[in-house]
Amino acid sequence: MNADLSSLIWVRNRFPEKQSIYNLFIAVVFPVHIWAIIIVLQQVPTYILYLKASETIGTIAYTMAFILLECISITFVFILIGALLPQKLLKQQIVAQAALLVPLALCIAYFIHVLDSISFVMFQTYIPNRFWFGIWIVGFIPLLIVSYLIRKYQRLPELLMKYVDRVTIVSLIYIFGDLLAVLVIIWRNVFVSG
Amino acid sequence: MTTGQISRREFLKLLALTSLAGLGIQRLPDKTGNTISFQEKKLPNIIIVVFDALSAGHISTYGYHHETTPHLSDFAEKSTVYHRHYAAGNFTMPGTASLLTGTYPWAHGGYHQFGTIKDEFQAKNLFHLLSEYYFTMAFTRNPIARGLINQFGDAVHQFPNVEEHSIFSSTYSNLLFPNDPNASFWGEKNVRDSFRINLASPFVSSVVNRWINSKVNEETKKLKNLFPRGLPTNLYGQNFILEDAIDWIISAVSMAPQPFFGYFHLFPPHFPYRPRREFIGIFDDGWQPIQKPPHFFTEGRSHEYLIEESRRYDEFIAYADAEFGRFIAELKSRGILENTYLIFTSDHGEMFERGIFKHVTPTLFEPLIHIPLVIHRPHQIQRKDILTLTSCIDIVPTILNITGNPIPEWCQGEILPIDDLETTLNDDRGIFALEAKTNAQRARLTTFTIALVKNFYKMIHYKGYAGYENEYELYDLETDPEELDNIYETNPEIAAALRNDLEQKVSEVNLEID
Repeated sequence: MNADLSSLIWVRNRFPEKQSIYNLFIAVVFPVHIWAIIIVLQQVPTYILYLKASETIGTIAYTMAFILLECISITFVFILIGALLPQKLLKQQIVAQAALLVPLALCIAYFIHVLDSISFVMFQTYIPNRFWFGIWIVGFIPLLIVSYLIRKYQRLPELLMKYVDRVTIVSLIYIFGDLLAVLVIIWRNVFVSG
Repeated sequence: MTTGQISRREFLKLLALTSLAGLGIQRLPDKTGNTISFQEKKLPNIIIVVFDALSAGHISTYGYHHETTPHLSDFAEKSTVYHRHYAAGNFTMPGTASLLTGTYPWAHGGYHQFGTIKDEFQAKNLFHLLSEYYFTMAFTRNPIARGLINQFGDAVHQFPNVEEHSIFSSTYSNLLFPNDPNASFWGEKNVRDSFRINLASPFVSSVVNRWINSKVNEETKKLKNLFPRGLPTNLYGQNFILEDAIDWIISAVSMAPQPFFGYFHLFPPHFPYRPRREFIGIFDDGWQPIQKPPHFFTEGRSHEYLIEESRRYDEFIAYADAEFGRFIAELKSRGILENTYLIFTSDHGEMFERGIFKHVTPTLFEPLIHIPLVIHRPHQIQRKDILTLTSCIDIVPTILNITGNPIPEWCQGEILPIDDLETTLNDDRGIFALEAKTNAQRARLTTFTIALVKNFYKMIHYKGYAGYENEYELYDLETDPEELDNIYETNPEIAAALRNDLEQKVSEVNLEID
């Protein structure tokens, strides 16, 4: 019984507190949405060229609902990595680290997408999986550097937490927009059939 | 190759319908599974087979050097062959929308890559016009044609999900949101589109692409012996083989309640050109088409590169033709052709000259818009050749004529003569084609290319492009079918007459928009 309880506590300790998960989610939502909104806004003039207004709204709704799903997935991945790695490496300062690592990961993912896209247009196939893994591994060397810096300089996590605090309101607005998008999708599929 | 078979659910549904047909009443399922009723009429079946991006200039039935279409040639021996048939645009949307609505692109409004047609045309199309008396069905793996047919709504009684008939599919919008196909398709493109550099969701795209790579490699390995260049793909997430589509269509037309109307838009020989093994290398004879000088819209492709791609394209046509032959043989053996008009055509052509490859270009040269049209009438026993100019917009009035329906006023085409069904085509009629991808939809035509073919003269007008504000080309197709000699400056009278016709047409269109 005690052994069970202690292993449960051990598992529980591997995962962040509720407040940290919330802050982590905010740290993920902000950069991912900034990126997505810029891309969607770039597309809107094209949509206006050849889609009806209702379809434009629908298209944006599907995109933003998917972005919400992506944010949840990234948050989950961070929590999981934090649980698997030694606690001092990620979990103890998970929010501050996420605030730096998510934009970095976005850059890596974008770089890979550009390579995939070029490869697809030229050869109708994506870059080989080993290159993909290689780029992520090389790209995540900064994880160790960031982790080291955050532990070494106390001022850095403080600054990053302040940044997360400041983007909280706008991130909540983004999340509210995503939930609206989900409602739009439900409405379009249930009430505007065909 | 079982994925192309009609599903058990579809089979049972059709079985129930066929038994009701014996009572003189047919009950047809619409896309939502509800049923519709109508009194049976003795009408012929109609099948339209569209091979995507099939240029008449690469078809041996039309005199091409390589024997790319022996089966089509056989079929043509008992059909009517239209030698000067034109698409209304140089890519799927205008070509297909014009074919199915009987109107030019400026009328239906579908001249953007993934655009929509005007709302009013959701009810002004072949499916709607026939759905009262016909069981209507469609099949396509072309996402643009799919988006268009989705707009016709419940007038299309049977329209299978392309995902179910693919070797491998990595698109989900159709499956997850069947009631909202267009917006969900665009939403999916926003988060993962291999052609787009700026993606809203590079994370997921990056991960999903790895999974796709693994699956495609796995499936390609399995069929490597049959398809050494890889599995055919529509470049939008589906890998497929044409054999499955043909199998599905044979099953569908065999079990459909009659009369039926089937629109089957098959992806080959659209790029990428990946034929079955036995077609690879069959045209390695060293033959070379004429080298043409680069156009001002050249993409900079070398002559050697274009020749190589052209040869691969020919191989893919031969593969598609073999499957077409199998399709016709099956229809004959099942007796379906006895009461069926079969229309063979394409939505647009493909280009391998002047430094331009494929069909995403502002130009409207013959390889892009001169397409095949072969129509077989039930019990037709001899070939008939039509040399008069015809357009894809003529197919709607022709079918309406065959089925005894009145031709609506909005329809811009003319009735085609088929075998012994004589009609008089207007020899002086001008045939138009439009390319206006970069022009705003539902707005005045300001940036576009328009072609007018009248008698044997063809004028192309490039309007509003940066650096090419107002360019004209004029060719005499009778003496210069390769469009090598621009006679715009040397034939001022003909140039002025055709230019006047073109300008008048554009003014009319813009006036209507205003």
